[in-house]
Amino acid sequence: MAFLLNQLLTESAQRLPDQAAVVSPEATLTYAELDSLSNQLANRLIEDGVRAGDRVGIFLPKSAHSVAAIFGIQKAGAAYVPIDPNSPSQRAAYILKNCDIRGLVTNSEKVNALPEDLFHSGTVRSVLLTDNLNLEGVSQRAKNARVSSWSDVRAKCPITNPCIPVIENDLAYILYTSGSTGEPKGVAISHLNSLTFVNWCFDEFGVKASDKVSSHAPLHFDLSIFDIFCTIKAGATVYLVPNEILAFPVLLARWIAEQGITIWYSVPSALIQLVERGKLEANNYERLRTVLFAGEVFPIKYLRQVVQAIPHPGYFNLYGPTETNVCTFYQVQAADLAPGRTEPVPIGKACANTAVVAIDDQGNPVGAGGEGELYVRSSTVMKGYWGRPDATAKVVLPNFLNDRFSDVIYKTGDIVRPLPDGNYQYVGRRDKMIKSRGYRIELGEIEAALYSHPEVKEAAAVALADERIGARIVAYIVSSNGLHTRELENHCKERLPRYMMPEKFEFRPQLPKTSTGKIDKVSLEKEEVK
Amino acid sequence: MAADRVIDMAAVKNFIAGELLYGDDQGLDYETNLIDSGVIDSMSLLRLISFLEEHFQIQVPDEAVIPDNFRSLSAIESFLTQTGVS
Repeated sequence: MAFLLNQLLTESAQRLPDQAAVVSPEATLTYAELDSLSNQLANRLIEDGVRAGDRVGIFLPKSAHSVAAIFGIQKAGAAYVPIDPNSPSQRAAYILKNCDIRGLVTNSEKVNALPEDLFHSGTVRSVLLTDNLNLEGVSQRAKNARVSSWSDVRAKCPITNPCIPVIENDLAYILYTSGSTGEPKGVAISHLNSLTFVNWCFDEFGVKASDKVSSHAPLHFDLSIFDIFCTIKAGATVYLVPNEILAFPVLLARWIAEQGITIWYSVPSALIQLVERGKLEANNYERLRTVLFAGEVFPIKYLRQVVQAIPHPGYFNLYGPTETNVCTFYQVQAADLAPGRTEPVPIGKACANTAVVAIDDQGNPVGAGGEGELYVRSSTVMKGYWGRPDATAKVVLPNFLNDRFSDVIYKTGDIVRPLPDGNYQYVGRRDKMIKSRGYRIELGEIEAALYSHPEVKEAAAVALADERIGARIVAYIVSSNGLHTRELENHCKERLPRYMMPEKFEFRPQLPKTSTGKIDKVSLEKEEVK
Repeated sequence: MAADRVIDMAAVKNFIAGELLYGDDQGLDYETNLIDSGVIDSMSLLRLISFLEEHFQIQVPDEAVIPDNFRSLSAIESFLTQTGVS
């Protein structure tokens, strides 16, 4: 029985060596190929000095190579740290330094965009390039590391599994999310945390070797955990949506039909684009059996349109923060889509091997009809925020509902309403975190980027509800003389990922204040809505 | 830019540089691959299409929203020419 994520690959490769594991525009890898390539990558990382418990970054556009890197890193006993390939280099470098990476899988273009001082301390020992371009140039930059090309690894490294002893409580990956104080937080997930989720979804959705599972979410987004690991556990095939068609709904719809995708998983905004601009009626999706969505609230009018366009699959709303992975789920019923209904579908009931409870402000469980914050008990609950025991202690708490033995409970920050039928309805956030296209955004991180410009005296980032993408962001700024929008935009662009960039920067002589002297964001929001 | 261009591509370039690249048009030329470089993603593409529709008074049908028409400034120019913009 596998107790590590990478063992899922080893097991499936023994059963189904010739089955396609990953299909992407660059390459199709069978289980045998993916298994031996990831063994080779692991062996090179180990040769270069990567040890069990280390972290290895992946800074690459998603490809069959990055999937091989995930398993190679885990087989070396390390945790993988996927970085948004479109992330500004300062943010990428912050993350790589923050978790003290020992190795990096990247390509020559991406590595050259990173600041050189990343490699100065000498802690980065191994750099693996998926291309063979400019090996010398990269070696010059990454002076203290050994730089290898993919083809060198393939030609020279042993294809046997190094079988590094790792236990299920060791880290499997770290996913960085927006942090309210201005710096991204690394959600550290163990093999056990992740496998508990993978085993649940494998059973619940009956994933089989004949399934063709889409991979739409980027690897730094936790929806990818289902796409990669549940597929590999089943001996099924994961189809990476080509980067080239991600933004083009007509082609994406055709791709789903032509590839014969059986299980689709994405944020609702991707499905909204498909139904609005994808000409869904032009194709036949007969093989599609399950559609999973997560990451944000799906406005019911769009969900209704999607189900009308493709009625036969089962539709499931999956809910859960990165810190717990999915913890509740709900299968959409016909009655949920009745004309005139405007309330979004519930987030459902707890997954197997997970318990959830709504807690009121006095710390007591809430029954049907009440409202409270959702708390989660499960082996899926993260090990903590990397290097941030203070932040971890605020959300991973001793289980105050039972103090007779050692147990923890995770405080989600999400307000929910228990319904009479046992399902939970999502109500909103307790704090200032917002979602745009499924991405978590802390307005505090945007404000920190604005304040980091020396000319900015006051700043407020405000989120406006947007049905299609969740939220749009507007920045209000009071500056000393002469600061231009362009300059501030450029300043933020170097610090924030694309999805966090304010859509509008508005300079004001002053910002409204509350009676306690804080910036009055509620009144700014109201102004915008008008 | 060539003086004989009939389509107002300067406006398209300005839009991409200003709205999608936040003022940073370094390295943005007619052949820059807007998809590979991440300039065009699902949200920015919608904004670009709205801009083209408004600026050139055209309708961009969903079927025309394909990489071949949006891969680069020169691809956008060819597309606009085909659409009858002058």
